[in-house]
Amino acid sequence: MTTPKKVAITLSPYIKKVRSRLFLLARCLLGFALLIGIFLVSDFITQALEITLPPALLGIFILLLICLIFRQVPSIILLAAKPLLTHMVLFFIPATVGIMAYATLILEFPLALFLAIVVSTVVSMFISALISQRFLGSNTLNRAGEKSDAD
Amino acid sequence: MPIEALVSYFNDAYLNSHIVWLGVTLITYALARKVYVMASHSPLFHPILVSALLIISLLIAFDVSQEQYQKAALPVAFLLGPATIALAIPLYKQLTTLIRMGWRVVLPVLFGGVLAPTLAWLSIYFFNTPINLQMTMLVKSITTPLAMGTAEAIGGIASLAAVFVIITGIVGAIFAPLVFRLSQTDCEMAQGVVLGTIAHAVGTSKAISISETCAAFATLSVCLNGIVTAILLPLLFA
Repeated sequence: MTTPKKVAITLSPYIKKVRSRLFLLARCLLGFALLIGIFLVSDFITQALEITLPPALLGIFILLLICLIFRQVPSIILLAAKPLLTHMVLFFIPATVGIMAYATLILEFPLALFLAIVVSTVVSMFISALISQRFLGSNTLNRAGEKSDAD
Repeated sequence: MPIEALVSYFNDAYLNSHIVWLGVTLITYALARKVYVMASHSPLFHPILVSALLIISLLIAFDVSQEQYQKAALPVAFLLGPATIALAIPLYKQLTTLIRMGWRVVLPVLFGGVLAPTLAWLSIYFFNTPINLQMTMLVKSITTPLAMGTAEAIGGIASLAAVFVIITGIVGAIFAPLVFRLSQTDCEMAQGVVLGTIAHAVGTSKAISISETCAAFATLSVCLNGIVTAILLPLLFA
């Protein structure tokens, strides 16, 4: 009498596992569909109202609003967003390959592009490091000062 | 509408060759990620550089035009939109940092966000470069997905924007340790702000190797600079 019960007990975790995996996949796909939906809606709005913002930016605000309303990132969206964020690089491979069409334009101005992309980046990094250090580095000093005042 | 382009993609008579190039894109990306891990996350071996170079050489070898490839890779490019929207999640997670630090973090980000494109634009302005190249240069310090959309909105070129942004990020990540030593930037929060503002996502992966605080500030700066730039540039130039 007890043996069939035992079988039933050993099988159930397996079924549960498969079920929970399917459930997870369904939730992930739902989140995915939601993200695509937000993108299509924001794309439609920017085109219909002729706003010159990149459509995905409007989408960021919509999703941020959703997060603020729920006071957390909805778990369905988090599930779908994680792989999208980790593999973001994949999605701009096609655009980067498109550089082929502009090879002549790039080769026309090698020095200008070097100055703009390499030299100016390092220079602006240096200046912005000085500024950031002034704003944020003094923060610890302030805190220390407050402490000594309190003491 | 992107959805219509997607439908026509699946109706296309050349579906077979499309699927081959789609597969090539995915496999190349997987390979490039492996190379990146093997090179211990050196910015010089960033997956986008490796995979783009591989695909370009394959396209040249098989005499496939760039337009044909763009058509084939459309589903991949389409996902960039939803993936960009997912950037709201790291921003939401850093909102408390933003509110806690207030203008102490906003001002340096805004400063860097104005300085970097201005210097870049000035350095190509005197070379008689075409206006679309100048416009593209303005977006070079914000995160790639937003940069591409913004470049298009202000009359720049999306693919050029992607490449400029990636190279800027790589340069930033490579020179960051030297710049921090010379400018005596020892505050990790400040380092994070600089990496995020100037070198976007590539800088953020550098920041992750410095510390958690640094990474948090870098992420916040990437989102903040990206959003402010993407709002302001179209208002100014479109």
